[in-house]
Parts: sequence; structure tokens; C-alpha cells
Amino acid sequence: MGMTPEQFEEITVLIVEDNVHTVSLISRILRGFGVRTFVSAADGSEAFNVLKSRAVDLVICDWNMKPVDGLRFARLVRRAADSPNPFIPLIMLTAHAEANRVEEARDSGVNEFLAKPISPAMLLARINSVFLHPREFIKTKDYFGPDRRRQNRPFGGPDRRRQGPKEMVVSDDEMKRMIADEATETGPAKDRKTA
Amino acid sequence: MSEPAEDDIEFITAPVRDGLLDDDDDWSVEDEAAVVADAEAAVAALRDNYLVWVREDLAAIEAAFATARENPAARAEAIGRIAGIAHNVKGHGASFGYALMTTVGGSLSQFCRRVKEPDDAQLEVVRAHIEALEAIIVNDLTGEGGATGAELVALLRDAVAARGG
Repeated sequence: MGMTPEQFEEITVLIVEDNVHTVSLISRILRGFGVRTFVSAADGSEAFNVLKSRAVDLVICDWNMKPVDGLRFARLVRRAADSPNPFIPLIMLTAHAEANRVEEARDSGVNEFLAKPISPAMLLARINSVFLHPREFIKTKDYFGPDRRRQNRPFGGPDRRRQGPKEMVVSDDEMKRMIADEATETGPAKDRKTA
Repeated sequence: MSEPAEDDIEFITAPVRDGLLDDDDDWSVEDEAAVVADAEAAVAALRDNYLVWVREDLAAIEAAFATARENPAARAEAIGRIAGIAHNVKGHGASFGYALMTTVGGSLSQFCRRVKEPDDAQLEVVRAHIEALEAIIVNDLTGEGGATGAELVALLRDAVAARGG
């Protein structure tokens, strides 16, 4: 079962996106779900400052932004010593849905990846996933973020996830399925509290 | 490469703000479908705005194309600009019911990124994409655009294949 409008009313969402039209689209969808409180930022640096200044429950972040892009922002949130909330749920948006892009986003510590064009159903599925079926976080010497394995199964071996494609924990078939799923799915800090 | 010892891996359950996700056992699949339908209706209400936005994108693409054609020294920069704008066209189209816009925008963006500094023949491929985008707007080709859309996509695919994109 998914999140209810009452639950959505309780959350504050930070939209990190430099394209104002995309901000309009995302905020319109979120309002449809019941979200009442938004904050937006035009790049990763501005977004990081927003996180330091106020409580946020979910970040929806574009990839291509300047000067600080979504990937660098995700790494800052997860690993910077002054990160205000390293555990915050982070959904990465991009119109690039190639496998290497998904892998890069995953390795930066994002919880979910969503290919543009955005659809309400797929955005809702990602939000439900991060809040209702959260993955455990993993901390190693070179990674901090959600468990990059999609299934929540016991882990008994060493961390081999950065040793090359053949040793990826997400299998090729699973990655292809993720890409296929994405392929078929059809942004100054401002408070926007709706009535 | 040495592997980290199992002891070097820490599993942590992310904290959740108190009261954020109180259960609601009465919430049903039908309720969720209604929420999605509400959100889709909210997006549909933005469709007129979208047509204004995409016309602005197209005007910016046409301006960059004119620069690319008239000023060879500025061609690479102009084509890079087209790639970026077309990437946004790709990212928005299907969200507003214009899947063909996403297809053509994606093809144009990819072609421009590949050729980087096109010769005159390759510029014609860029022009063909621009004309296709105009046709989608003028004829209000929603979805995949039916037979006309299929024909446009086939023509562009052949043009890209012929010009080394």
C-alpha cells in the first residue's frame, strides 16, 4: 500500500532543478499527491544550503545543473562532514537513462533513479519505495548510502561492488529490467506552501 | 585489489522522523489510483503552458541553428546549445502527452552530441529535426503522432543513419 494524502501533507520536499518548467511539473504532481510544502533550489550548492537551514523529508534532484550537479550534490549529502542529514531520501531525475548513468547515480548514494519524462505513477512509485520500503544504509571506507542491492537479503561477503561490471551486485538482467522500466515510464531557494 | 574485511562494512537503519509515516490500514489500491488520477489531471491542466514552453524551446533551437549555419566558427558552440535544449524537449514531451516530441527531441539531442561540429550535410539533419518539431506543434501531434508520427520518425532515423550520427 502506498502513502496517503495525509502522510504527504506532513512531508516537506526539496526540488533541486534548474529548469523552471520541470519545477512546475514536479510541484504540480506532488500537489496532486497531497504535498503542501515545497522548497526549491537551482543547483546542488544552493540545495545543500537549504538542507542546512531547514528540515526537509525528501529530495528530488535533477542531474544536469551548474555549478554543482546532482551527482556531486548526492555525494555531498551522503559524505560531507557538515551534511545536515546524510540519510535523507534522494530521488535522482534525468533524461539520460543509460545503464552507466544509473550505475553512477547509484554509486553516488541516491535511493532511486527516475528517467524523464516523468509520470505521476512512476514518481509515486519511487516515493513509496523510499519511504515505505527503505533499504538499509551501508557504510564502507569508500561508500555511504542505501544498500545498492535492490533486494533486502542477508549479506555475508566482502564489498565487491566497485571492482568492475562482472562483480556488480545488481545483475545485468536486473539492470536491463531497470532500464526497461525507466524507458516505459512515461528547480533559488523558495518556500512554496500552498493553501 | 584487496577486499575490505567484513568488519569494515556497517549496516545502518535510516532514522525516520517521528509521526511521519503513521500507518493507515484503510488506504486501498483504488485510493492510490485516485491520487494518481488527480495528479495526472493536474499535469493535464498544464498542457497549454507546456505548448508555450516548447515553442520557446523551439525558437531558441532555431536561433542557435541560424548561428550554426551562418557562422562556422561558432558552429560547435551553437550545436552544443541545440543539444542541451533538445534534451529538455525530450525530458518534457511525454509528461504532457507529446511522446513524439520526446522521441524527436531525444534524436536531435543525441545527433548533436555525436557530431559536435557538423558539416553542411549533417546540418540538414538538424534542420529536418527542427522541421519535425514544428510539425508536431502545428499539427498538434499528441502521443506518438499516429501514421504521420511514424513517418517522421522513420525519415529522421534514415537521415541520421545516412549522415553518420
